[in-house]
Amino acid sequence: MPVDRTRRFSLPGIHDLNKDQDEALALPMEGQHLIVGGPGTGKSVVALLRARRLQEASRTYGALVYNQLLHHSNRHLFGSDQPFAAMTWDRWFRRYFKRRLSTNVPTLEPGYPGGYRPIDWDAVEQQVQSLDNTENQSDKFLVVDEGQDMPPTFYRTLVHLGFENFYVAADQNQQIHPDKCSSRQDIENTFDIEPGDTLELKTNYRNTRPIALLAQHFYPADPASPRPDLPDLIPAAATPELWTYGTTNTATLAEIAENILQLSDRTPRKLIGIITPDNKVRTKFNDALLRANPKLDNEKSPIRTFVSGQRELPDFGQGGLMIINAQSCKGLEFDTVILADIDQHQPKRDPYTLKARFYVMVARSREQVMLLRTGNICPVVDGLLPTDPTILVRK
Amino acid sequence: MTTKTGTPKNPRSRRKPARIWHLVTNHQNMLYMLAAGMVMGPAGFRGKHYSDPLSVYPGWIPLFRDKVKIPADVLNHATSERKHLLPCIASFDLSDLSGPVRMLSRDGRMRDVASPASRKRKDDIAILVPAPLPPFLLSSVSFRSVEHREAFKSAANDVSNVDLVPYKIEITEELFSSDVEMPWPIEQTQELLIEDSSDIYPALGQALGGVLSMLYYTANRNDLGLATFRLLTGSANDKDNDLVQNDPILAELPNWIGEGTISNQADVRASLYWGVIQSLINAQTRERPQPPVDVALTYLEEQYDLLLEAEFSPRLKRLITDMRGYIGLGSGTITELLERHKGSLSRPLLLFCLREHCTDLLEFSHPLLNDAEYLLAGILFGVRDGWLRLPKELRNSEMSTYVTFRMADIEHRRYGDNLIIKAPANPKTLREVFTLPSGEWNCTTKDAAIELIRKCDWYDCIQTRITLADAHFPQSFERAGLQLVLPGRIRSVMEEVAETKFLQRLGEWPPIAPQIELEIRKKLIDLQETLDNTNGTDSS
Repeated sequence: MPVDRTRRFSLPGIHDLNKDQDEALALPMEGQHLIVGGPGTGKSVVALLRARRLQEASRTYGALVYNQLLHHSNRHLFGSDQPFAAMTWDRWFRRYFKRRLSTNVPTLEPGYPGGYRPIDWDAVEQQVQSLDNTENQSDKFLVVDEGQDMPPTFYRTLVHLGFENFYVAADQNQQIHPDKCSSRQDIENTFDIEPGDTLELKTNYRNTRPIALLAQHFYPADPASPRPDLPDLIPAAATPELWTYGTTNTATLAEIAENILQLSDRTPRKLIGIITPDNKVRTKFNDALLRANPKLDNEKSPIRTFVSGQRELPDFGQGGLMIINAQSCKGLEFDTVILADIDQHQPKRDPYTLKARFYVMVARSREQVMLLRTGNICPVVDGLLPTDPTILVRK
Repeated sequence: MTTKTGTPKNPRSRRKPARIWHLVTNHQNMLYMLAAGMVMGPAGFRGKHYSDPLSVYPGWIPLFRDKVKIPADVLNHATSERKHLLPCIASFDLSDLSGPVRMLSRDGRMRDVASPASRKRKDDIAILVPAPLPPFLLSSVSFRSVEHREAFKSAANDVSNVDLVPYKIEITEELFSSDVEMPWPIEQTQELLIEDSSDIYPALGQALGGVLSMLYYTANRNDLGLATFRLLTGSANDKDNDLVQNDPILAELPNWIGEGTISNQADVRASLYWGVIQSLINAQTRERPQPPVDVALTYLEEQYDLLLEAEFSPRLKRLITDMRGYIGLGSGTITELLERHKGSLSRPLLLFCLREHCTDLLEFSHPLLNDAEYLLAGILFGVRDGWLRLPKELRNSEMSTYVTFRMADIEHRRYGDNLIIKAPANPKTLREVFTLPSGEWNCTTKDAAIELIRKCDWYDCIQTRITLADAHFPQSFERAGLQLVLPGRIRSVMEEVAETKFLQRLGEWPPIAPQIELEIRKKLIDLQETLDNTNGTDSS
C-alpha cells in the first residue's frame, strides 16, 4: 500500500502563540489593523487564523496574498478540508474592479509582446475618484498577508471604494519591489492608524530555537525593524548541519542525493525544501535525485521543482521533496530546508545582501536545516557561517 | 443582569459549608490552564502568564468566597497587563477537596485552616489552596458579557489544545460588578508565609498526563497495552501484572510511577531507559530546557562513560551514534535501523528521534516493533509532549477528568502538602469495554460491536456463520451475484463479529470519532440495564 504523505494541518497550541500574537488575534473584527513583524514571527499564522474566524462567523471576507505560490502554500496551512476564500491580490482586484465599475481594470503595456499587463494604478485611482457614490462595504472584510508588497494606491483605492475592514500583516524589510511596495507608514497613513496602534510581532514563531539561532546569525545588521527574539524551546529540535560533498573523503553528490531520499523516506509526511542558488544547481539536484535509487522502506518520494513563471504549482499538501530557487522561497514554509551549494550564492561582492539572503532561506524551515557546500572554497560564504558548533554542526 | 444557564441553585442550608470559590483571572490564562490540565501558578505558564491574582501568591491559588463581593482591584489586576485581556472568573466546587489551606482576611492576615470547609470569620475573603488544581473541579467559567464569552470561545477555537465542551461557560454579570474597595495585592504579611520556591513548573504532573494519555490510546492496540494502562490506573488483575513483568523495562513502570525510582534489581537497560525519562522531566524544570532529544543523548553519553558492563558498551555507543545520525542527513531506512538495534531500550529511543509528537507515533507502525517497544516509545513521547501539548483528539473527556486528577495528585504528593482530591472513576478504554473477564462476549457486547461496525463501516469485522442441517459438507457451492447457493439444507444463519479483527480495528489510528464512541458507550450501558432488568438483577 502506498505510504500516506499527506501533511497534517494543525492549529497552534495555546503555548505556541506568544502574547503579541494573542493580542493580534484579539483585535476586533471591524476596523483597520496592521500587524508587522520580521520573517518567521507568525504574521501569516495570525492572518490565517483571522480568515478562519471570519469563515466560521459566516462573514464575507477575502484573504489576499501577493503571488500564486504563496496562495497555494497558505491554502495548505489553512487546512485543506476548510473552505477558504483566498486569492492573489492582483486577480481579486481585477475581478472586483470589473464587477464594480463594469469595465476592465486599466493596465500598462506588457514588458514583452503577449506578456503580463500590470495594473495601471494611477489610472485606477483616477477612475475610482471620479465615482459619484461610494457603496457601503462595511460588511466585507479583507485579510492581507505580505501586505508590504502591494502598492499604496491599492489600499487608497479600496478605502475610496468603501472598504472599511482591513487586517494587514506586513514586513517592510521583505518588500519584493521596494519602489512599488507600501511602507509601514504608507499603510498607517491610508488607514489612519496611530503608530502606537500597529501591532508588532517580535518573537520568532516558525523556527525551532536552533534554527532561529542560525537565522539570527545571518540577520542583516541594518534592519528597519528589530530582529525577532529567539523562540522558546520547541521539542525535537535538531542543530543545523553543514555538509561538504564532492571532495576526497567526503560524500559524492549521488550519495548526498541518496541520503536526502532516505531522510524523506523516514519522514514521508514532511516537506523538504531544497533551496538552490540558481537554475543550474536546481537542475543538478533535480537530476541527481531523479537518478538516485537508494534502498527505501516506501516508494520513492515525489520530487517537485518550481521556477518563477511555471503555471503548474507544486503541491504543498504532500510530503516529499521540493527544489526551488532562492528567489522564489520568500514567504514559503517547509518542514526541513536543505540549502544546496551555498558556495554558489551571489552576489559575493555584497556580503550584506548575501547575508540577508541566507537569513530568508534559513527562516523557511520549521524543524531542520542542512547546509551543503561543494569543495569549492568560497571565503565570502565561509566567512558568513557561524563557527560555534552549537549553532552549526560541521559533518 | 444575571443570565445564568445550567444547574439550578441549591436551597441554602446553614450547616452546609460553602463549596463554591472563585478564582479571578483573565481569559488567556484560563485557556492556558485548561490546555495544561492544571490550575497553577505562573511558573506553569513558561513565560506566558499574564499578571493576575495567581501572581500574588506564587504556587498558591487565591480563591474568593462565594456571595462576597470580589474587590474591584482584584478584577482590575487580572486584566492589567494587556488591553486585549478579558476578566474571567473560574468558580470551583471544592466539595471533593480536603486538606490544609490558608485563609486570607481583608487586611491581609493569613492563617492555616484544616480545610476549605473550615469555619470562616466575617473578615475572611479568600482561601489560598496549594497549586495545582485539576480543571474538573470547575463548576463554571464566568464572563461579564456575551461579547466576552464569545471572544473566549473564539480564542479557544484558534488553538489545538483547548476543549471547552466539558465546561459550563456562563455570563454572570453580578460577579464582576463590584464597588468594594480593598487594597490589592495585599502585601503586608504574605512574604512571611509564601516562599518563592513554592511555584515550580509542574514537570512531573505534565509528564504523567502525557504518559497516561498515550497509554490510554495504546491500550486499544493490544493486551499488553491494556494491561499496562490498567496497572497504572489501579485496576489490573494478575494476568495484567504477569504480562507487564515480561519486559524488564516495562516491569519497572509501576515502581517509577509509585516511588519515582526503579528497583535495585533492575537491569542496565531499565536503568538507562528510566534514567532518560527522569532526565527529560528534570530538564523541564529548568527555565530554558534543552531540546528533549539532546537531553536524552547527553544522559546516554554520560552513562556510556560510567558503564561498567563491557558487554553493553558497544551497543550503547552504536545506539548513540545512530540516534545522532538519523536526526539529520544520515543514511539508512527505518527498517535497517530497527534491524540493527533490537530490544526495548534501543527501538523506543530511536523512534524518539525519528518522530516528534504523540500523534506521529500513534499513526506509526512497523512490523519489526513489538508491543512492549511500542508502549515504551509511547511513554517517552508522552513525557516529551506532556499533557499541555496534546491535541484535543488525545483528550477523551472521561480520560481527561481522571488524568488531570492524577496530574494534580502526583504534584501534591511530591510536595507533601496533604491536599486530598477525591478520585474520579477510572476510565475504561474501548478494548476493555469489549474484553470481558469471562473471555466471551454476551449479547450486549455483540450488539454494541455491531452498532460500532455499522457506524464505522468496518464490515471486514463481520462474518456470517451458516450451520448446515447435516454433517455432509458440500464439495462446492455456487455464487449467484450477491448470493451463495449451498446444496442441501441449513439449520441456521448467524451474523457474528470477527472479534480479533474487531479489536484490531479499535486500536487503529485515527481513533473513532468521539461522538460515535460516546453513543456506543451509552448503548452498552442501556443494553446492560435492559438485560439486568430482564434478569431481575440490579446493575447498581
